[in-house]
Amino acid sequence: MTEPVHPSLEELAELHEGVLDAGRQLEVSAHLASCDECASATAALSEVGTVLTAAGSVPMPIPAERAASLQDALRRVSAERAAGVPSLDEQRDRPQRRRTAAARVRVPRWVSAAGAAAAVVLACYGGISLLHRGGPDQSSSAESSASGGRVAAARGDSSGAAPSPSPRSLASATPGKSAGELQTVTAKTLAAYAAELGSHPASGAAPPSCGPAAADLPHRSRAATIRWKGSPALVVVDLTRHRATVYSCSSAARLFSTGY
Amino acid sequence: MTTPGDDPTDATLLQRHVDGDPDAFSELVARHQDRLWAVAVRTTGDPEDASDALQEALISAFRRAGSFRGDAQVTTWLHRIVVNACLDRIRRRKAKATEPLPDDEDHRTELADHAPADDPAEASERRADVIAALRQLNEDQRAALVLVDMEGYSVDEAAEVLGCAPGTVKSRCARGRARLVPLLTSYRRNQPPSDDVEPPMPAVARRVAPSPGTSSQPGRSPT
Repeated sequence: MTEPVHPSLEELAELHEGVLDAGRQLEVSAHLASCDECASATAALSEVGTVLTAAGSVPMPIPAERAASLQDALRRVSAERAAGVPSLDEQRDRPQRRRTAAARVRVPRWVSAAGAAAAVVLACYGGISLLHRGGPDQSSSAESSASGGRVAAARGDSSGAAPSPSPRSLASATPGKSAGELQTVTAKTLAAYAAELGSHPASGAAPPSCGPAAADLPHRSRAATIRWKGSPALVVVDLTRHRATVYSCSSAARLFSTGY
Repeated sequence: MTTPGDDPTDATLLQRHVDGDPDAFSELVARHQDRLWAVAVRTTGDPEDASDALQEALISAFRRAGSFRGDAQVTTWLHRIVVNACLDRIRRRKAKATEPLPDDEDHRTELADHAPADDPAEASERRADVIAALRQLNEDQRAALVLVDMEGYSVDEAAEVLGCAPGTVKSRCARGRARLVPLLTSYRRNQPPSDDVEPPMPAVARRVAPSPGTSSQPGRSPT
């Protein structure tokens, strides 16, 4: 048999896209130039493109009921955000959420009823009440406080732990700092403040008391509560991008952002 | 900054959302949901999966909006999140492997339902065929073809959405198209003899009676 071996459809398609390797490209183009069979195959490949493009050009609107359920879901997350529920990424946050849920059990009902209180704040009260109570869950409370301590500097960097600002041990590391003594930071001083917070995590900064709603905390970050234009605000310092962002503690809106 | 009378740009809406506007993100989604839906259906090959992936993706986009850096189009960013959610869903399903893709016939009606009134039945049927054919591809080839051939993205834009090199997009498109030739065109390659690895079983062989008592499982030999 002297009949030439035809290139595969795949090779013809790759030749057409210009991604066939150089040596083979010459052989296949030479073959194609004199082979009707492969010319038909190439035409069929173009036809596939045409059929796909034609199918793609027919509008495929989202069915009304699916659009409605999508908008419902977005309304829900928007309401959560407005209520100040921190939007820490739920996928990555699972271990932390479990701890938070465990802590919440021990929080008096009225605290939960406050609803708008950020989960991190609940975790904080929960952690303290765990320590005070001890009792049958001693081991789990120890684990809980240990994990709390590990992330206390609000670094979101390792071990899959959520970058959750956990104020408790930061607070104990900086006795005497209460919410009434928040450091006032302005647009002019933010960069310097961020640089300071970035290099000395527990240097007298007030613990973060609310979560950002519009953005996840970056992976390597530190957070603290400051006074911004007279109101409490959360500053998140992204150690990787050298960027500081200020969020309102009341509305969770992003107020200001700067490099440092 | 746009004046109140103007239609805000996508980027403006996204910024308003980041700044706390409770409705801006919904408005942004309403603008693009048809196209994102089409991409999701074509990428997953299944309206239920598409719906779940779209919702998951857009909630994630809602929350991650603050990390949008403005170095891409908002629509490209949204497409990237949606396509990735679709691919994740397909891979998770594959990993489980206990949950087969739903049967074609279940969804043909829904996929064909939304054709415009003047669209001939034949065209919507063909569209369902296209989706069924796309499902025969692996998800990477399918996503590349959906973006480039169906959605009209350039290779570079598709590469940005898929997070891979333009050459990779071209390869995936080429291989995908090659696989679709027998499914979407009347062209049939003359099979070289060496390709006939598994010739169809001759009818006469199938008619050979199985051993008694196992007639419902032809070919199974008793052990």
